[in-house]
Amino acid sequence: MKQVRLLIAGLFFAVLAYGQENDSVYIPAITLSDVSIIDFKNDNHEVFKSMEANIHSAFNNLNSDLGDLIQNTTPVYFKNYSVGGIKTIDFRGTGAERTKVYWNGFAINSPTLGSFDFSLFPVYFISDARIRFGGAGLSDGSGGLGGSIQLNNPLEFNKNKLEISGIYGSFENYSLAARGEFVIGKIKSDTRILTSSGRNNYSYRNEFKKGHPTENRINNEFTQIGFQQLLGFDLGLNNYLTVRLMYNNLDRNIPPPVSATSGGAWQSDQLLLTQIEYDLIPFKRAFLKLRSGYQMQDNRYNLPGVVDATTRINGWNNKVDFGYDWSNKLQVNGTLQFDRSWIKSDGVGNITENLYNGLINANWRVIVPLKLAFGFRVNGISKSTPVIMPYGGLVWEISPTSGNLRLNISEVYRFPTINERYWKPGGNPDLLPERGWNYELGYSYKKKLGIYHVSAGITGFYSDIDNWILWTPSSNNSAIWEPQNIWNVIDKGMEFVFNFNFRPTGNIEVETGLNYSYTHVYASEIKNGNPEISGKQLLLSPQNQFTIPISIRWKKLETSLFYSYVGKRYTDRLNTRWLDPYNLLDIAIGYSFFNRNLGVKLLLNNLLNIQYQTTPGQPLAGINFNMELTWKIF
Amino acid sequence: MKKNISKLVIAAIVTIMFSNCNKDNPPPQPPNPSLEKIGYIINEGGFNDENASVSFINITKKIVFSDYFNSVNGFNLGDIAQSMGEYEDNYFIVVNNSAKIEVVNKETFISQLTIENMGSPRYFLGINDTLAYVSDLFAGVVWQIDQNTGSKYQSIAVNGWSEQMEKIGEAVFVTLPGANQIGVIDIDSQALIDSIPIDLSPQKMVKDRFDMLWVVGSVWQGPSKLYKINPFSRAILGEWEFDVDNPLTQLTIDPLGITIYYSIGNDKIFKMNVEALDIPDLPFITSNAITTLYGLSVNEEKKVYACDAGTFSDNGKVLVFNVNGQLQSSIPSGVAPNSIVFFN
Repeated sequence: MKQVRLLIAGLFFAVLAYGQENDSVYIPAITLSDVSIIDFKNDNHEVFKSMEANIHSAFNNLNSDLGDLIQNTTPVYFKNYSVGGIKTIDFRGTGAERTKVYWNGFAINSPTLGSFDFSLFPVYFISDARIRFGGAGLSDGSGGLGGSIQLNNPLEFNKNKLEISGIYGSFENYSLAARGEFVIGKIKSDTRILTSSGRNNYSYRNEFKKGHPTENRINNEFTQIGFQQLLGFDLGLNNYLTVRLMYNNLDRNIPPPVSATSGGAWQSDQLLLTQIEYDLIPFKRAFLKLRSGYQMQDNRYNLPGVVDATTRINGWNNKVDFGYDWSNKLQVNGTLQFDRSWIKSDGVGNITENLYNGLINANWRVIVPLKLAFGFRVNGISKSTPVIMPYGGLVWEISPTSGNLRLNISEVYRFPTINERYWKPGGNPDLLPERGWNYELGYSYKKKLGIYHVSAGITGFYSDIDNWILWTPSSNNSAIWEPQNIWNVIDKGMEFVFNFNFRPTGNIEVETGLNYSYTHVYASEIKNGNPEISGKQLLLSPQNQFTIPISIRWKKLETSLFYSYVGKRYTDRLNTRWLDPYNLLDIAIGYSFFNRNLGVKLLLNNLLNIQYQTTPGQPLAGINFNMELTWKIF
Repeated sequence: MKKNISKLVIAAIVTIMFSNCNKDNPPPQPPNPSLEKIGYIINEGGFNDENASVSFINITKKIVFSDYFNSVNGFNLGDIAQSMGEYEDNYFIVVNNSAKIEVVNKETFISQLTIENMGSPRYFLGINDTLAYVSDLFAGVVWQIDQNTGSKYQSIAVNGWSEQMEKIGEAVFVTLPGANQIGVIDIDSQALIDSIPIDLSPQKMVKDRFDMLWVVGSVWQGPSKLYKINPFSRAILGEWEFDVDNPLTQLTIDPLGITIYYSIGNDKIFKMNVEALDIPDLPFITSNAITTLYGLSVNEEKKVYACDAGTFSDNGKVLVFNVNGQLQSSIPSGVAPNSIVFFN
């Protein structure tokens, strides 16, 4: 491990000589043929760290989900069972319930669990995604202690398009998809449909059986069908109306522990998201966006003869965004939001809850090299006392050739989930919200030297979170678990990104880079429990991760290589047991024929055939392939 | 510079690939039970974490060897080690969520047989040289198995969840927590012939030297009770109630069946002679050293071994109290220790 650290350090200092970071651009919410509306200045991208997801990665395919998309962009750890299996994020070591996911401005995390199953959102339905780190998540809402993921569906096209795609891969995985984009006068439509299934009966070495036999995964099948419809209307006089609908149904079996030879469960999830958005630009410096929508999350978990539990969540979301440019130096914007959730769950019963949110934000260029962003978010749930979360930061352009320095501070806050408060038995309605401060310091640099483009950036972060919620056995009955505010948690680390691009000739383009993250997340104060765990890395959170993408494009041929390393993840709080580090190598080769109307892509995953786990006792697939075909009809 | 970076990247990849290698610990030498006092801690592990284990403790030499089953046999035990029964030369480790029973030799701990497809097994009870019963959480039966081959015979239908079992004469008494009953199985006819109703859900049960049954009954977030039952007349001889704030949690008995030991909450352990007419007023042990009392065992020296599961996520420990109730030592265990089986 020492050698690895030295090598990483060597790489780090070597690339610092170049410098970087192109991780910040505005998100266009809607791009009609001649007008772009920017969504908007609450995206403090220069002051807070955010990164555009690599939606065009060669490793995205019809089988990919939102988790794959994020992993193809930056080192973020996900715990998952298999292709199509439950997949939860561990962003900056904070755990699944501390990362928020927003679909066109509306939070889609489960109000009961707090987390989002990233396998429920196919990449095929994502046009634009942004990863916001730490306090940057305050731009969207509260609760994202690790950060947030923002998904947007802009209507961004200028001509009619119809294409169909199919993929076939190892373990009887296949998908079929179709996408049509049409423009009829001032109406624009984007329709996508996707169906997938897989058997996922991949082989693995079973270390839980005598002689470590090679066995095939059982009860691991999934089927998925999804549909997305976007409609945009240009109403004239800078008025725009957008309607969005996304539905996905994912049925999957859940394999038994590998030490068992039979059994397992099944789970069915439905996700329905709808939204109507009205955009108005009353005059050049002002902006108004009204959004309202309905969402439904339905989950049924069945362990035959044991458990048959359902959770149905209906949500009504409403949001108003507004902004005004006072001058070229000062922009002000805000958000008002009201959400109502109706929860019907076997675990908590029937609960209705209201959520109120508000944001005031200002961006102020004080002098040419210095820009400030500051504001506060107000958050309230039903009858609880509203909480105010201030934030602020600056970006200093040292000089046009020396890069930018970024510094910010924000208060972060997470209200306990429905399950944490009301689960029967054990739910604790007296839980306090998790609350703390996040500090971030970053430096970014980019340079063009002839045919070479180099960019690099480094970010250090530090969070101090109090009242961390943890489920523990009840003090007088170990059969009942209850959540308690028992820790103070420190989450600190460093993220480094380096990109290198050059075009030796007009037909050849080479891109490579390095993304490295170091995260040390630990309980610094134990209010109840074993004090020896203080300072130890939290469960299943890697300290070291990095990825190295390499891509070479030559005319119509694109070859990409993606290497990723995930370090040791501890499986007990005293850090005495762990899942071994693993390294994965994937290759993608794509070629297009017939004036780029027919595309073929071959993906070879886990080329080193590493047996690895992200969830203890759940081996993932070894070497496997996918072959994808896309036909652009017009 | 580019050349240097390439070399560093390649070197980094090669180094990381080799960092996956593991060193295996050599298995310990088999104990000599005739000279040494031996015990095994059953570490349940976390649900779906595949980290169940057995710790070997040499009480004489004060040696602990964790993950003993894996060290001896070269493969992990599985998911949720619920209990370990014994019959003649073998131990039977019931691994609940792996739906299996690992049969190991008592002296060498070498795996003899893996009995698979067991549903959701809880406890093992040897009946004779071939026949054994296995209780089950969900199947609504007590399984009859051939303990030598692992093959299942017919099952005995019971009312839902079956848990701990005691053999008294030609009958087996089994707690049926879902039915609030003690089921009575006749070994000859291999059928449930009777039941003893009690008012709270029974789970833990021990048999004393007079073949009387002591049972813990409880209700979710409600009161709990200790029952003394005459298995022959099916009569409840005594019952003592504990309120919800001070629940009865664990129950065990010394190897000779003279004294029962039970716990209230996590910090109080009481002992009571089986001939006593009433429960004691004062605890035998009061210790704030226990975070989560998850099991109790007593050896032939009447030392009390209290299993502390902590938060169930980390390795636990077993606290040893001497005959005077004083804390004597602390033995590290695996995750969620629930009992100790002493070699005899």
